[in-house]
Amino acid sequence: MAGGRIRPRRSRPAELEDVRGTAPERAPNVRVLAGFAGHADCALAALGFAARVDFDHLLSGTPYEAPFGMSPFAFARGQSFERSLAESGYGPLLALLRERMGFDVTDAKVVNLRGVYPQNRDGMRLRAHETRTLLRDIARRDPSAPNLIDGAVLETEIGGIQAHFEADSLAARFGGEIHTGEVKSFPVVDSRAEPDKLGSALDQAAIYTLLTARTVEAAGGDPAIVSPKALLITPRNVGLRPTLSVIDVSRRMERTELLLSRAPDIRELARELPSGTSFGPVADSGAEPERRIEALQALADQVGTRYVSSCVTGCGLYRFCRAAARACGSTSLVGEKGARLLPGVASLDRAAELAAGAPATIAEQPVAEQLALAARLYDRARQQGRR
Amino acid sequence: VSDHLDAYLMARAHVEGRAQRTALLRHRHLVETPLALVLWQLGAEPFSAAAVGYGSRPDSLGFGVAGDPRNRDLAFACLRPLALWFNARFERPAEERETVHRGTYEYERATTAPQIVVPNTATVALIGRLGRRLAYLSADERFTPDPQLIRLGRHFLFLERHAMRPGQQIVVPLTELLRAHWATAQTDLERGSLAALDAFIEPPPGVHGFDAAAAAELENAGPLPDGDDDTAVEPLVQEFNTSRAGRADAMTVSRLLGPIAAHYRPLVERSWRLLWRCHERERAYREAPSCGRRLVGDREAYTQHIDWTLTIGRRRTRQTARQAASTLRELEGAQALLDAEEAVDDPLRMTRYLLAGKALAGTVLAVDREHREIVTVNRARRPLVRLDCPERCRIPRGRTLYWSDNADGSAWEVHDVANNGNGSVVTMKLLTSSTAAPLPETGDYACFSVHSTREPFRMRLPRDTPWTHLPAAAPAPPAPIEDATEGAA
Repeated sequence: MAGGRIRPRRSRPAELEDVRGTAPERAPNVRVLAGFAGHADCALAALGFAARVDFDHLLSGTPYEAPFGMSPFAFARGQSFERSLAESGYGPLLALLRERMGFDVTDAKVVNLRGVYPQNRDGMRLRAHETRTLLRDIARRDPSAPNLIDGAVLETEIGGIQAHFEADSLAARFGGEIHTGEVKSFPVVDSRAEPDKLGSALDQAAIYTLLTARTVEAAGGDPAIVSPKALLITPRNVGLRPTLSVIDVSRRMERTELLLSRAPDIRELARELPSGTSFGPVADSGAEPERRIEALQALADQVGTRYVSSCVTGCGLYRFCRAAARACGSTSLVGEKGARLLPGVASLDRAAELAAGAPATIAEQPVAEQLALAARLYDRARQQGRR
Repeated sequence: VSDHLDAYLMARAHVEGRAQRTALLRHRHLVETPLALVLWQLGAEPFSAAAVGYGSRPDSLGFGVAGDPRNRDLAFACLRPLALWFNARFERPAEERETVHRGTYEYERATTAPQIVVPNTATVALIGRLGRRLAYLSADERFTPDPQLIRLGRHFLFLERHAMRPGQQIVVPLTELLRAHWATAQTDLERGSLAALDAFIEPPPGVHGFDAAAAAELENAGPLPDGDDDTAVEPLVQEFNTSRAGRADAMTVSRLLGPIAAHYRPLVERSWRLLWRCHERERAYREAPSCGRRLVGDREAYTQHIDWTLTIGRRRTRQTARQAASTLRELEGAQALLDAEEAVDDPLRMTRYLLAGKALAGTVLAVDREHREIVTVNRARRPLVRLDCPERCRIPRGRTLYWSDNADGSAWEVHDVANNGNGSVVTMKLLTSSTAAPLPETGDYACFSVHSTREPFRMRLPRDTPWTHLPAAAPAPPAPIEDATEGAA
């Protein structure tokens, strides 16, 4: 190994295992990190993220299980697209880089870090080390350095714990700059892609770009050689023929940086919890579903939750939190826009009371007048309809 | 969600446990026998349908599966019966036409337009993608496209584009129809599920709408499959592919489709029942009068589409700056007119504007037909109408409003506002001396709002595109998106 010592495996804080208990684990990959960004202000989500609990499977077997299964066909499509790029010595990929980026790809050197190391935490650590070495060589303009790294692994600390990100993408270096590539299997047609999917692909590319720049810097290189222009490689049209789009992700990188710096630290969170707080009893598939839900309710009461409309797409506990919101008639049930119309009103039930003319507190006064007027006008219009 | 009326109705829906109506009438025309379509796609395969369901009546469901839609021949074979059924019915209304005279200009338009009903907007998006794939199919050495499929593709592309037009009634995604007529205690995202919306509108007896919707939202109405459903069908598709051993001819395939059809049939039938249940429920409401006016626009767009399709048939896939500008203006104009027509037609829709201080309503106390005042130079007739409004009027003097019973007629002005207990007495002034302009009668209920249904004057776009809007290169002409080299996988 050329690049100095492999970093020793850090012992993970005991709090991590304590809080997670027997709950299913989820390593913070790019998807999880981007998902967490959506509800970073929910204390329960932060605790689960810091303790690396897999919320998507935490409630399996209870009535609140989230329907977040992935289609095997979607998975297979992604796989076969990635495979097609690496066919015959990365021919299709290099051709794309030549045609679209104008890179000179003759004698391009490709290093593949996939399949060489075991698929576990130690393997990831070795790959991260290898990636670091290669990036350092690239930064030094070593002639033997690769032009393309497939399956690079980048390391960072999230909430004080080492995390590994396996780039399904690759760093490409031709003529000085390093670009991060992101391979996605959604199609681009008439130079357009689905905005949601495009957005999350770019968020992921931004994380990789940021981590690549940090790695280069840590290896003594100039982080400016990492270009903020990410290469998005997707199929074009109906088939799986690849196309490449160059997209600047610097704004997204700034956001990612902020997100990483604010990621919750399990040791700090655990300090504020009573000892014995754990997701274990919630995940206990041998227990009665009611007991598990009670355990989760106790945990939620302890740390607090924040149900918002976007939880429905991203959080495995959304059915639980939504039911809790409904039980107290929370205004968050009707989404943020609806809740903003009811400032100072404790619940939807209270809003209905105010509309019916219940005496309002000072805080409720302005909203109460509008609600009561709305109720009067509505009832009058309905009567008119009956006439 | 836009104002306190929505907030009130959502709170009421939460307390009563069922959705609240936001309109007295139905603001979309619904025909008894529309072309109903239910589609199912395979995982993340965006340009094909794994299963299709179609028909014009609840009890006649046409059904087909592709087997493996990733194979082009199989995907197209699945769409062919749909194309035959759809094209014939979609094109038939264009045969009966009337001639319209506009000054010296005359043109034809169909006397009716077809109507397509689908569960949700995701289905409209899939229709658009299928259209994009099929409309521009061209022949290559191994493949001759079926003209019926190309026609289906062109119709689908038209439908996707037309569906963007506010108030159009050719494509009816039921989620949009229900959202426009019901308030529920749900977020926008949750209201995207037809099953959840339906459950909140009509929960089983004794069940709160929230619980009914939470249970129903697990029942997907397509076209995007649940992970679990796809996991169940995956071994069937694999077995199917092994058995057919690379063949895609109808003889081989039809014998092997059984298990896959058995997987999709209950899913399609579930959506089918849901679709018709929602359709029937909405049809029971009385149709708003302006639906007929908007139908004329639909008929014209439809006739143009059919004429174009049967002659040239190609449309740009990316618009020029000029096209984009006029499309945007047209969409905005259609939205404004839709808002105005719905409010004028329906007192419940007008409530929103009364609340926002954009309308006033009350009982007519007195009508002064012969009121005169100096208008610029001469004294002219300016009839006055005095209204007793039960709510405090917050509209300042001098504001121009329109009388809802004559919303395409002359403008009125707020002449005077005086407080009267909790309400106001408002005097409105008609801004014309014409004796032809109608006036309300004493004792009538009258409503004045900012909404006029008269077609606004439209400026012409400049003849030449300004240099600021000239692209470096013209948009690419429409091209097939089928990869000739790949094809059958």
